Amino acid sequence: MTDIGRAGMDAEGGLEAAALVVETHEAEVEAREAGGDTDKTTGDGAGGALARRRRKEAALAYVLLLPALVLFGVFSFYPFFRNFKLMLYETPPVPGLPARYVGLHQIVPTITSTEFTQSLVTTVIFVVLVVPISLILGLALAVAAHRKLKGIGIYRMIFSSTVVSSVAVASVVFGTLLNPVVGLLPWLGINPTPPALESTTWALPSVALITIWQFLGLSFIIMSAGLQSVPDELLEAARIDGAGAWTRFWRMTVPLLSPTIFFGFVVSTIYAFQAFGAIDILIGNSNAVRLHTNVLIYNIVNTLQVSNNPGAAAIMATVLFLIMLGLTVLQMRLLERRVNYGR
Amino acid sequence: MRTTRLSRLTAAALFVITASTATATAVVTADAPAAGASSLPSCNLKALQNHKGVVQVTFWNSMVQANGQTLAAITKAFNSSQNKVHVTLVNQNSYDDTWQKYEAGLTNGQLPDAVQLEDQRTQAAIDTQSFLPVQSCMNAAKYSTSDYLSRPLNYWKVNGVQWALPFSVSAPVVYYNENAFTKAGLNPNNPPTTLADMLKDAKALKASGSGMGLVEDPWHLETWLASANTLFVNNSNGRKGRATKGVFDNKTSVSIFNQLRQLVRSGDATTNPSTGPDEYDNLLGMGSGKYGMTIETSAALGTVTKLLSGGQYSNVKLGIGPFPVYSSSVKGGIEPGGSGVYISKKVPALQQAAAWTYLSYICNTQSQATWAAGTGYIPVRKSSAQTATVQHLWATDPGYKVAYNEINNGVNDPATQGSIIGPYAEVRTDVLNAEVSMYTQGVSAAKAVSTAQKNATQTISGYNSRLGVG
Repeated sequence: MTDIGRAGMDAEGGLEAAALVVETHEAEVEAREAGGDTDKTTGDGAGGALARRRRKEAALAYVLLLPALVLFGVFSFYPFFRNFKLMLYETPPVPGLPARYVGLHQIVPTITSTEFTQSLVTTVIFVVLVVPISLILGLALAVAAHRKLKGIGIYRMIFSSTVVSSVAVASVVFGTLLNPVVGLLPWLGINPTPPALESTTWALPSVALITIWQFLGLSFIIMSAGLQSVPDELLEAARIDGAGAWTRFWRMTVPLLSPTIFFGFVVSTIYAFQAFGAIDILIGNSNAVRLHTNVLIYNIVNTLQVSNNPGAAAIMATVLFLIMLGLTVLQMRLLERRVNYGR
Repeated sequence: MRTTRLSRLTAAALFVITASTATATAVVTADAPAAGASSLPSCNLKALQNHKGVVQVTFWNSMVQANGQTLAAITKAFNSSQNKVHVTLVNQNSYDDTWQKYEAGLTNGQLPDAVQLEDQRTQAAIDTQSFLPVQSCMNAAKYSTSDYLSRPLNYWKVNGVQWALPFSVSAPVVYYNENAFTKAGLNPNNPPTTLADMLKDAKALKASGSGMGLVEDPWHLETWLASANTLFVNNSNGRKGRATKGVFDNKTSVSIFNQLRQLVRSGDATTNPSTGPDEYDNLLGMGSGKYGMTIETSAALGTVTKLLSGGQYSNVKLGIGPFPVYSSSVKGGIEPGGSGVYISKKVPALQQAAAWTYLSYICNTQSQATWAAGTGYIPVRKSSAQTATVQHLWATDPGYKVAYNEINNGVNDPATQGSIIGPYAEVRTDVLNAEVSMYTQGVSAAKAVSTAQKNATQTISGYNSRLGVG
């Protein structure tokens, strides 16, 4: 499972690795203390030397941690705390003019504005559209590719290839497919009026489709990795006991896969909350509200960049943060209880 | 062990991801200088006269295609006409990109010496306190504006101060295919002159196999209101004092919206968005024969003419007609659109003087004549209209004269000069959203107008209160 964790979050894996380095060094020090230093007569002197060495080792660990810390500090921790400061200031609608301290006064108007509440509703619909479909499709593809067949590697490569396609490329490709004049839809004889990307009903499902497609690769990889850790002997035993393919899948594979599905659920929820590129490229900020595609993250960026309102944007970002934090805790508490980690 | 490890990793990963999400918005807001004095800042033209050597000036613009090539030609002529100032053009692709880049420049310090800004940015530009009004340089140079057309000049004049020179000025016109008109039994020399006529012609076109393309342009309502000499926002369209609310929830607006609603709901016209991949569908549809008529800015005329001359659209015989006004019995005018050219206050006096030299050059008689002939923008000077270049153009291609007449004729008052609104772009989005809700959801015209006004007023008061003026 740790492999999946690393695959999901490289940088965090790095931090974990560095922490392990510290632990290992400390363990070595203790071993030497126990074994090599028995001939020392004065306990005080030995303790001092040991403390010095420990400090040295710790210093080395911090030096090794430094690059990661600097990166996180600059791009995550500093902006994170700065965000809370921004919430307290009201800025003029054009940049370059001094901000005014208003304390907590702009919080209520911001989170009760119709723009924000509508954006929240849109986000929830979007997440509900994206998460289950991308997980089910990812699992289906993973099961399909989990066989010992000649050339299966090529299929695995194809299925996981959406991971390396950029959101801009994916958006342009899907935009062309959905284009009412030269696209795939009119070629198939489907020509909705207004066109999918200009319709209040179909614009959001269309961008959700692109997000699902984009996430499918990662979903496939996560599910495949999970499937590979399901022991073949167990399935074999079940087969000998007379369990059919469906029974084996539902009663054996899915329960054994539950930690992976859970992980995929968390990651895809976060991914769906952050969908931005497809909406920006295919819908644009002047149409986002009207076409009900103004998801929270897009609204935050527009509040900041188009309306030049960092205060309100910071408040919305904090709400998004709290939602994600709450969701995560909830998922941890509720889902983990039902997750089967037994081997 | 595995359990805790997975959840620890997941939790840590989640924290980092959520934290970076929440803080995607953190920006550094630089301190701004104190608000300017009520008197005009000075424009030191002597700095340039006394300077030895060449002054480098950057000019941010948004001109592409034929328009970009013409601007490059005029700039080249300027650079070789004298040896004190050398202008480098920086193309920012679109008006919106230019404005965003300029706003970013206000905090990161990367600003041009001169910039071309879209009509709707006028009040916002003033609010940035980062521009030297061209009025200062006009006073210093004893520059006469009597040759300028009055409405474009007044468009960039607020409270008696000229903030920018009108440079690329356009007006919406009717583009129509004379062949499609003939096929529909309409007179190809008689494009619609009123909104009601436009509906009739669109119906006839639709019956004969084409129809009308209508781009969802946010200035529909304002333009038809100006043609009916009716105000859009209070305080004389924001020209006597800062606009604080929309004032267009009236019979005229409802009638305009109602007719547009009918036009689209009947299927006689097909809409396309004004941004994104489908933004030129109304023009492309003219080429493919799908549409027999559309409304588009005259600024596209140069590019369209060039495309048509390629010969691949032999079915199209392009005709240009004036914007179909609200009613022939009300005397109004078509508000100018396009862009003005500004001088930065954040650059040294020498640069400002050099920028002024350039801007007054691109707005002189011959440059404006060249500009009009190459683009479809109107010449902003009466003398430019008299030049051989423009007279020849108008004689051979009368379509180019249509927008000039629209801007030159009609009433000259705040209602026809166009509005000045701080959050103009957002207000236009509010109005557009209401307009499109009629087309796609069948919302009534009266409801759409009242929603538009309510949202526009809310947008304006939010902006004003954040600026500390409302």
